[in-house]
Amino acid sequence: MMALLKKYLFSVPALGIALLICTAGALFFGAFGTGIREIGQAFYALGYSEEPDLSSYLILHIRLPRILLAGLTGAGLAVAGAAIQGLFRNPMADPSLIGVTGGAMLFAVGSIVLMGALSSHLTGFLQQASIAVFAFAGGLATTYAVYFLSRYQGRTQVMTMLLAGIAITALTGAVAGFFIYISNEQQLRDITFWSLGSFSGSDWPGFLIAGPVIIAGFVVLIKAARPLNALLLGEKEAVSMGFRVERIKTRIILVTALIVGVCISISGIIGFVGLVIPHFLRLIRGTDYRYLMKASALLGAVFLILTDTLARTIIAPAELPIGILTAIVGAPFFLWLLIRSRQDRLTL
Amino acid sequence: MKKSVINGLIGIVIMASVFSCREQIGDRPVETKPSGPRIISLSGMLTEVLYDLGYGPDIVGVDATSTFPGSVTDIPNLGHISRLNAEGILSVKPDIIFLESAQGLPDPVKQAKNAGVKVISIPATHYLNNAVTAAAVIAQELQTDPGLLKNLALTVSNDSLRLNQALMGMAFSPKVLFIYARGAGRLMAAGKNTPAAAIIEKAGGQNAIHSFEDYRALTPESLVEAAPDIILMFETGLASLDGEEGLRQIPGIAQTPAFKNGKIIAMDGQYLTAFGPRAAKAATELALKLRGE
Repeated sequence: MMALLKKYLFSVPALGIALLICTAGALFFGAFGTGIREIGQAFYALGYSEEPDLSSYLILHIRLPRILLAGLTGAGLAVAGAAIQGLFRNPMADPSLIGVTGGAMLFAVGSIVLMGALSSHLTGFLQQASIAVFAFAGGLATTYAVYFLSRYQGRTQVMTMLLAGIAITALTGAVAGFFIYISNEQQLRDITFWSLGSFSGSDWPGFLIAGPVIIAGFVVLIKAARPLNALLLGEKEAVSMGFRVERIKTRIILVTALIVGVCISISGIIGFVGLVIPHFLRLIRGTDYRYLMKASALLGAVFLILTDTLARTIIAPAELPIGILTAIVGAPFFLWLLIRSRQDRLTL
Repeated sequence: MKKSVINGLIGIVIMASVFSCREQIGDRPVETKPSGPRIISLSGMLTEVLYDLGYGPDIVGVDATSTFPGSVTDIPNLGHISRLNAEGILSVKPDIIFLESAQGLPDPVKQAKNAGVKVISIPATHYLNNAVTAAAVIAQELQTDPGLLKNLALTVSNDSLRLNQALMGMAFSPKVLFIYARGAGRLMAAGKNTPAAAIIEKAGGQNAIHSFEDYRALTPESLVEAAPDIILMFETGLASLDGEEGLRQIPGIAQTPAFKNGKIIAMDGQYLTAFGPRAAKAATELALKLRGE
């Protein structure tokens, strides 16, 4: 069975088809009952630029951008995770190690608390937008700090970077803790919800901002697959194979921070995807970054589209935070796989 | 890669639309609507007001804070205001959404607005006639029978008169500490400008905390310094501590005059601090309890 899984089910084309099916399928599910007819009507209205009725509007302007954003975020987080694992040559690494998550969290929490203090009459839109912008800026700023600390004589020392990342994450956690302490009840609730993640605010402008960044980042990371394979052998070996390791490291750090920063600013913090999706594929097909990058993106997208569909339908008309579901759905499955692979005498 | 996915998806669905749907457009079954407008209320206070104005049967969705009257539990609950879902809102096919303006305009509400649902933000205050002011806005929006609005105003002013009588018999103004509890690990004291402080003052007490606004974590030292004559809590809050015995375990509580004299008051949260139609009644009840009756 494992062999079959390896060969067909998790090949890149198969995952691509799965993503197509999930995207189209997710369009049918939601609190608002819609069948093939409503969906047909919606795209018919789009094609003939008719004024959409309620169900068409819902499908085209609420459900579709949300599904696409969930897919993009899943792809972005999983690819970023794979790249960081390659960079640190450690399958247990995840993007939070370079400080991007901690920084985004700190700035978002800070903006929730301080914006409220600056002006309680700030409109909801400004507040929402400022959280996203601050989260993104925070992610980049802390990543830069970590990167700067780990540069020595023109080289990036991965070990120093790991430790600096842990220290900076602890620091941002402490400052965020202070903000949480001085927050009021309302802000505390906003912070809690934000840190559990949600796609509930998704719309087309959000998609148009995030889409190009994530897709461009994805292209850059795919190109880094061969050097990452070489890095598996060691840095010196990769250099002697003709790869410009320093430039590639810088590029990966920058692009990962961009992708993860954008993802967090769209949806809040969604754990589990960046760490587990690449790891899962690694268990099944082994470590070849040419495969791992593409497959992680596809599987990450499938995974988040499915869990988000669950999040918005399971207790409809209300909705669950997606961060809860990613772990509830993903963790048991991952554990099962771990036990299986132990029986099959596969190594991690 | 992503682009081809989107193109493919659009292709599939357009094909489906051409084959299965084109001739069917226009003959959709007509929705059976109740007589009035389909209303969503995203505030417990506004839900109460809507019920008093006779719109109970027209409410098709409420938020998590809408807990009164009891029949509200039959209405689909859309969740907490900061965790709404645009689809969930649209799935109950609302015509109009009421919310408090302090809540801003959450993204999902904005999306519903873009989909053509009317959204009305109503400012709320900590005055006893808050419900009447809100009711006036609603009545204007829904062209309510003025008689119903008058009835509500009359009820509130009668309750206010009763409150004044209760306050007249009050010899002094006790220091009241409001504690918001969600289990022993999360205790917050109400500072200035909170709904709890407002209702305490309306009921003739004085808020025990003067040093900060909003809610802050309760510390043993601040408890002793505040030295409240009376401790006020929500019923759910006291229950989360396993009652008064659990309250005693909180460091500093047992040393307060309130606890020594057994003056712990617990009341329903929505009733006490929502400043809805029952605010004056709640203030009267609290005033009588502060007097020790």
